[in-house]
Order: sequence, then structure tokens, then C-alpha cells
Amino acid sequence: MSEKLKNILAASVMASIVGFAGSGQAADEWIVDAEDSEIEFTGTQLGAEFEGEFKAFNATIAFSPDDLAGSSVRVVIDIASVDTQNGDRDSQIVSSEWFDAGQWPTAQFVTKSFSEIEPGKYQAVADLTIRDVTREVTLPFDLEIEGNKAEAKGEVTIKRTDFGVGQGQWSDTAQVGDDVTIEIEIEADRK
Amino acid sequence: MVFKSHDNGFGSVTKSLHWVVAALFITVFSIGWYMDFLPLGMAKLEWMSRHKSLGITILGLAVLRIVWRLYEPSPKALSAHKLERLAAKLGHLGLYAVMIAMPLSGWMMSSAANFPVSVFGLFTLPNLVAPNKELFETLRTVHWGLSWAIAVLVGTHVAAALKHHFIDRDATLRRMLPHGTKKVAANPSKEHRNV
Repeated sequence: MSEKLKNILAASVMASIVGFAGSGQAADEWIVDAEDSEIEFTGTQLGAEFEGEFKAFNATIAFSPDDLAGSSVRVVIDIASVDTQNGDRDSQIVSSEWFDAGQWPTAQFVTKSFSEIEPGKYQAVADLTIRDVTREVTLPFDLEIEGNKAEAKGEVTIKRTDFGVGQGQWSDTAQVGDDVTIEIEIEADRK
Repeated sequence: MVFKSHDNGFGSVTKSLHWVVAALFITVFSIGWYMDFLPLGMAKLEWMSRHKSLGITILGLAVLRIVWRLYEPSPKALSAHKLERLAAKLGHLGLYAVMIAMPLSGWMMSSAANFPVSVFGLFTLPNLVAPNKELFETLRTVHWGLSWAIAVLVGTHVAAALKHHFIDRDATLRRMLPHGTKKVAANPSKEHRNV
């Protein structure tokens, strides 16, 4: 066996050991079922609540209840996919005074840690980035895992002005309320 | 104070409702057209909010007014001509219809736009229809069309009242004025002339 081939073999053995060890440590990976998953929000306008959703998002999920330290979730939301069932409002939302999707086309949610509140109930501390503002949010959620299927539901209320959503005249919260509740409903399959 | 109307005059309840709704009609109509020309901004939303709240107030008062009208007798029409009396009846029916249809179409329009109606920030009305962009466009056209119907009906109503007052010189307008009943009662022979 040539020296070169030996080296390649050694390297590949090492890689598979490291790889194996790595995957053994990390939490289970999950693939989101886009059809049955939703990121919705409730805002208020003229004192009345309205609902909307972001139809397109990507989520990278590694989660195991018995390995919370090794779990992580990263969600990238396509701002332009917003749908509040009102054309005027949707075009406002993506405009420069609101999310400015031209400049910041996505919002990101990246977890920093998970903790278990009680069996089936967890909370995630995460960095939420909207426009150019990153803030820490805590998202409590219910999680049900049955075999290779998982369903997570949770909601968190944020203040839109904390993220600069609503510039100029819209920073006034009299007509468009400051509080926005984000509701997530995620169904995923184990990879 | 006479609460209920009688054969020759209106009671204070109907008079109050008539003038309050008249004032609200003019206000809501003016706001409606004004806000339509405003660019999308805070001011537009503020005026929309007032328009919706006052419009729903009209709807509530209109329901009260119709219930009250069915409960009390209505004064006799003073016109000598059968055709004029029929026209007045149709005109009044039309006014009652738009008092209900106009706010209702606005409420439905808000529902279709997924833009629920809050009444003075006190409570939020349930959505009458599910959000639907096509339905919203249709309702917007209906709401706009009804605004013209209101302009015609109210214009005719005012013109007819003035005709009764200045040409026929009867009590039609006076008996709807806040202190008009006494005058009607003071000259009953004339008021009964055409009945």
C-alpha cells in the first residue's frame, strides 16, 4: 500500500469516527413540514386586532428533549411573503417605513438556549433580528413528539417599535399598536 | 315633553333621532370623501377610525329609530297629492334602507379587508364575512354607490322639506323642528286641511 493511499484511508477513518461522534452528540435533526406549519402574527390597527402570516420561511432544527444543550433552531423568514389578506396593508408592510424588505429581505430567529418548564413545555431564548435590530426574546412552546413526528406551538409578544418597524409617523402607536403577537405552529419530521 | 309621535306631530324621541342621525350622516359622509383623498398615513387611519365608529353609531341609532317608528304612530303626510305622498313614502323608505345598508356595507367591507371595526376603541365588532379581496372590491363599489344614493335621497328629502315650508307653507318642516309641535297644535285647522 502506498504511503499516499494509507494517508487517505487514515484520514477517512478519522473523519468517519469524528463524524459519528459528532452526530452522536448533536440533537436530532428535523425537517419542517411546510404545508402544516405556520408563522402567524396578530397586530392591532385602529384599536382592532387583525391577523397575518409569513408564508415562506426556512427552519433548521436540531432538537432532542434529552439534549437541550445540543439543540438549536434557526428560522429565516421571507418578509415579502407576508399575507394579511389586504393588498394595501401587505405592500405597506414591506415598504421602507415598515420592514424595508428591499434592504432587509429576511427576519431571523436563532436560538441561544432551551430549557424545560415542565414535561412537554419548553422555552427558547433566542435572538430575533428584524431590519437591522437584534433583540433577545423568550419563546415558550408546547412540544409533542410522537415517533418521528413533532409538533410545536408557541407564541411571544414583541413590540414592533423595538425593532424599528414603523418609522417616522408610524412610530406613533396610537393607530397601529406597538404589541405584535407572533404565533408559531411547526410540524416536523425526524430526519 | 311628548315622547311619542301622534297624528299631527312628531314626539321628542323621533325628533332627536332625526336630527342626530342627520348630523351624523353629514359628518360621516364628509369624512368618508375626505379620507378617501388622503394619502395612506396616520391622518388617513385616524379619519377612517372616526368614520367607522360614527358609521356604526348611525347603524345603532337607525335600528332604534325603526323599532321606535314601528311602535309609535306616524304623523299624517301633509301633501294634497297622492303621488307626492307616495314619493315621500318611498323617499323615507329609501332613507331608512340606506341608514342600515350604508353602515352594514362598510362593516362588511372592513371584514372582507381583514380590517376589523373598533367602535371608538371601546369594543371590536365581529367580522361579518371572511377576508376576501374580490368581495372587498365589490363591497367598496357598493359602499361608494350607496354614498351617491344617499346624496340623492338626502338632497330630495331636504328639497321636499323646503318646498313644503316655502311653497306649500305647511307644517311639514316645522313639526320636525325641536319646538315645532306647539305651532302645529296652535293651528290645527290648516294642518288638517290636506289630511
